[in-house]
Amino acid sequence: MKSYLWIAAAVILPSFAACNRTVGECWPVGEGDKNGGVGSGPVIASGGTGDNGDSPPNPNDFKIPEADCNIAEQSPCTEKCLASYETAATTCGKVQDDAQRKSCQEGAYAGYKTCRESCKKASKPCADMYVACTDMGMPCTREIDLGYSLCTYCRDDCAANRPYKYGECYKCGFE
Amino acid sequence: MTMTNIPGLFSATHVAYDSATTDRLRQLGATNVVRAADCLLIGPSRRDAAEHARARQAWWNSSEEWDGLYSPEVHWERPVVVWVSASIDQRVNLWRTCSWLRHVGIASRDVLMLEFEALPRSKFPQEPFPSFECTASVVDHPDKVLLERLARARPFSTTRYDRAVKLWDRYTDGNPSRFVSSCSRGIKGFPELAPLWTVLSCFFPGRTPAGVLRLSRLDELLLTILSGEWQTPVDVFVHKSQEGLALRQLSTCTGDLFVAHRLNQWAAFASNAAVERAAGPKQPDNRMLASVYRLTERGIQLRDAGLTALTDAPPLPIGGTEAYSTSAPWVLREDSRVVRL
Repeated sequence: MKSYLWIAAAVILPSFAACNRTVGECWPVGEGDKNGGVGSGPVIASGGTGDNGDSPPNPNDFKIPEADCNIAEQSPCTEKCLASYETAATTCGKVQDDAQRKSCQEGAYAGYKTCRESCKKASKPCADMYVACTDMGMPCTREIDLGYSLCTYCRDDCAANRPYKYGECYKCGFE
Repeated sequence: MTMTNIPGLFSATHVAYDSATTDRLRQLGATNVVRAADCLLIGPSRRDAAEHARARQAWWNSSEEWDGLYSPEVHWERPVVVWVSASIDQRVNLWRTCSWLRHVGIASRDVLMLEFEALPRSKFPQEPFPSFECTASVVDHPDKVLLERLARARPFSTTRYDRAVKLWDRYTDGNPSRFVSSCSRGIKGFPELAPLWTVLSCFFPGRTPAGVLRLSRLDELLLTILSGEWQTPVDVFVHKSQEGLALRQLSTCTGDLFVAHRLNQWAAFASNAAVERAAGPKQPDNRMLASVYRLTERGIQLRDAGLTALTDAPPLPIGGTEAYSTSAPWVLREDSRVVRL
């Protein structure tokens, strides 16, 4: 699961990292002062400066959700949401009919918001997962290096938000 | 690509400092890998190899051979390739390796050093990173990088090699003051020294300017998290507090099982009853859940008022010396230097 999230993050990161920030709005690089064109990046409606895209999408307004310009708010999980949203929005952008395109974009964004909410719920503390791991006993609690259990290696990677060194972490209570 | 594509190196002797790296090197085709996966930041370290091995075995009482560096079964085929990450515990093992290889007559030019930097830290950690690095591993890097580095591996300069050997001498010295000076001053080529002392200083009892003896930072954390309620080492380790976070950060350099180890030392310490122990919810093989612990009035007193003597706390061997020892009464001043009482 976690490695999949990292792959998703790696896919989305270049466009995300290239996010230009202006007052109240942010745009994928190169799209700030022009219509980025259909399928050139995340498509989201803006109901006004600084909002989070809660108002209906406007097909002429291509920008990354406001919240996603704040790197500190991101996690692999939300990055996965953004990646999925980017894919969906790109597909919507190819729809010729205005009404259908708008409906498609609304659906894509609704899915994005639901995804982010799920991330909030799923952001289980690594310490809790460590507890679950330890409770499972062997082989999860086995000593990998002197003084270090598998559970603590999993927890260290989890807390540092990096891929697990040991795939067994997924079988031992870590997500 | 495997090591067989790099003539002369797949048959070399490879030294790895964690199990994951050992396994990866074998997967890459290395046939002669020495695992030296002992965490030397805690427990005794000695310059003499036999004495070191005996002291470590007595300290950990482990049935598995984690440290093969001194094993008579090792055939030190040249060149020796040392794979070391930026983790400070691995860096200490690097010094020890240099010292041992010189002892067995292997010239420094025959020891190829592969130093791997830590990967950039995530911008979104769930818990803040400590100022020191103890979680980096060679296997954080992809195979391609490992093999590329191997293909252009070089030995240390003689000067740098000599410094590594000297650092091991100082680390194992019964008088830690020269080693601490090295950490404070810094030595070119050994950036691990300052963060290493940040960690090691957490194991020594302190003395305030007024002369009051205090628990070490490690023990202060443990005795602050403990309470009158029974807690397993897991409860202590994952405690939702600043102390819990600090303990988890420190434990990246000692391992989680050391939390249980130290709590056991406190509970077994005969001179007082600062910590009590009872059977926990799991069997002894699950060390983090095998016992429960609670703090006594005496423990609260030690934590809040300080120690009346160094013998109030269980001794903890560190490098060539011992914290809380009357025969080596080293205490930490507020300026982070150690002095004899």
